[in-house]
Amino acid sequence: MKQERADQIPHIHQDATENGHAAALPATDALAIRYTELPEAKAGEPLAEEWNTYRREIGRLLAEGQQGRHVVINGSEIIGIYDSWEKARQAGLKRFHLEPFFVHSIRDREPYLHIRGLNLPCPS
Amino acid sequence: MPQLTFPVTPAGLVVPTWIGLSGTATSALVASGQPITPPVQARGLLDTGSDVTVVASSLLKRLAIPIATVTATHTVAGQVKVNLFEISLAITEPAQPGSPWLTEPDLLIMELTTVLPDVDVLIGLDVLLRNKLLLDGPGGLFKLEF
Repeated sequence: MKQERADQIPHIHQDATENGHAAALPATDALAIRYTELPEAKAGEPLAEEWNTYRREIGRLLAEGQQGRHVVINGSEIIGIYDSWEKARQAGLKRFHLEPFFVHSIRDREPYLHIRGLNLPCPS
Repeated sequence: MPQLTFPVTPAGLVVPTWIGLSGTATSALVASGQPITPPVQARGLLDTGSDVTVVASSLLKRLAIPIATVTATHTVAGQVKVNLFEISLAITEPAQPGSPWLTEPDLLIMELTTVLPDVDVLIGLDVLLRNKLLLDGPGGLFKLEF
């Protein structure tokens, strides 16, 4: 009986497809947060001042055509803008060693980071 | 092509993992004559459901790895800010002497502030898409080729 039911399943799926029950699903675009909607960092959070400086300056940087480049920020000061992440990190490490500094890709949308533990919490 | 073979365990696709300072940070410290903190072993889990590799806060603190940047992402609770760090990551099979090492010298990872009971590192698609992952479900094995 159980085997008979299992044998029916492929046919049921095929019939659904052939009889037009399979609707086209919406495309799965890469989701992102627009730069104007970035949340503000609260005092005490890591790199809060740098993140809020980035939020304040990102519109101007994009208007200047800096999209795709990489900014180094320390406190409220933009230290430099570089062509690659590696060059930005190296410049920051040379100046600050292991003291925290902020490197970020200049972009109009922050892509979502899908983490199963973070994005799929237990609904209970 | 070097490869590592592991058994599928009840916890999933578990791999012995080492986490350390990034290659870029190590070079900068060596150049300035500062000491290098050696890598630490961690419990890694291959996770094709994650875009980005995630490392437990406790490991990052132990290695004194400085935060590299922050970003925002979206959860069911709304937008959240997350911390990103640059690390080096290596995977091998220590039980088999002479096993090859899969190494990522400069990897941007996300901090995992939630404590997972059996995992320190979720190894995401950022690493897996640079390598070959072969899963033999019926055989209870998986293979990393790199």
